[in-house]
Amino acid sequence: MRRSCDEHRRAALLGETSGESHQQVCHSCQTASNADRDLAAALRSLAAEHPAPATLRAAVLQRAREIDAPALRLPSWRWLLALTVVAAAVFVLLTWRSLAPTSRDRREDTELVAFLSKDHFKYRHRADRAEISNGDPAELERWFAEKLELAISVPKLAGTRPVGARRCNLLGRWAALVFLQTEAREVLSLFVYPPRELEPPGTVDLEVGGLHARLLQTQGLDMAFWQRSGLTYALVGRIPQLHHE
Amino acid sequence: MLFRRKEHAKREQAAPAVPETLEEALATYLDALYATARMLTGEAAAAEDLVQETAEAACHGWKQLRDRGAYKSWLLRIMRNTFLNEQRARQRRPRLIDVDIDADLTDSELAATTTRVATVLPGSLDRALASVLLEYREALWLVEVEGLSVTEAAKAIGVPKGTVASRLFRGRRQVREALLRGRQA
Repeated sequence: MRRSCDEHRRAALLGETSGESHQQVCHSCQTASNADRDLAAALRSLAAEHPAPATLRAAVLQRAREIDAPALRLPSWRWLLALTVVAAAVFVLLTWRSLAPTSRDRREDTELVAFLSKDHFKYRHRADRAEISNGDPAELERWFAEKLELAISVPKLAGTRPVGARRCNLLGRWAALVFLQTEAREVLSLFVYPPRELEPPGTVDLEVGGLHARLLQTQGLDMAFWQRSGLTYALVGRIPQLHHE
Repeated sequence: MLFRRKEHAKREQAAPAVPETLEEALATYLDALYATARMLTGEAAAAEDLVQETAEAACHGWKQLRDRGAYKSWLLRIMRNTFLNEQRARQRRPRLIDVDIDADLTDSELAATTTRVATVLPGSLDRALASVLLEYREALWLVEVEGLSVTEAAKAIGVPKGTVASRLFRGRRQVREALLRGRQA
């Protein structure tokens, strides 16, 4: 009887039979079925007790909207400027082809971009993840000088203000991460790290806050890279000026 | 759910329309992802991180997804892989043990745990579930809570159907045993 029950159970678990006919004549299996039903109901109740937090939902859906949306939504009067920039980029690409990064550099670029994207997404909606919550650039600069011995300079970017910062581990090395809030209350992540052997990735040159930067747009995110005083700066998020928000 | 129940079939029929965009898919399944992440990690903050990393990975891979009807199991598979990669990175990977179905609890023990589950104290089921081996807990969760069929769960976990069935069976048993121990303690 027991062996027969086990076979019925296995077949029912695999969806090969409904098992109902056997259950009607087997008290043992009926008891087990009732116990399973109660356990499943209790587990579903447990799951329903913890819906996703609203902040998490907002952050995840915002990220998905960025992926679903077109990469750039430039207003019509800026198309001419955009075309000029693209033409310049093509020129630079053709001229500097011999200086193109090696495959190893490109692989490291890809890892770097994936890391920046991941950490931006991970931290941007969690104010409690900042190790220091302060809007004063000078305070943040002092904090990083003390914690990382890194003399960063928090840039003044139009339409943004610093709200906090933390340290992060960038591919095995410490880096500074400053959170900048836009007027639309979106968060941009500014990573600052000592220069690596590879060139900052980027496809188009642009000006960010008066700085010459290289722009990379990937997976709905803008990434602007520039170098200053021996450090590399990477601004990650939806840069308002590029989206005319 | 020792036997495939009518309620399960009804749940499948009442499934929402297939999401057309990633945003719709995540909006539809976010609660399920978060609950599953809590089950895997055992804590709220880690669960939030896991959901975010899962969503980010989904953002990178969704354009390659051809079967848009399989969003849920696809997202759960990403979550599982992300979680295990993190575990491997920390070199704390739980043991993998696959077993065959064997004898269940006795009828009297079953009856005792049935009563216990019906009048479960807040937190005790949570603790019982947390004491179950990850592989069993995961199979139990995907099938019983998320409503995946054994075949879908097998695809999400990346093991044969029979293995899922065994883990499901063992998972139920371990939860019952943990609840029984909790009552006797």
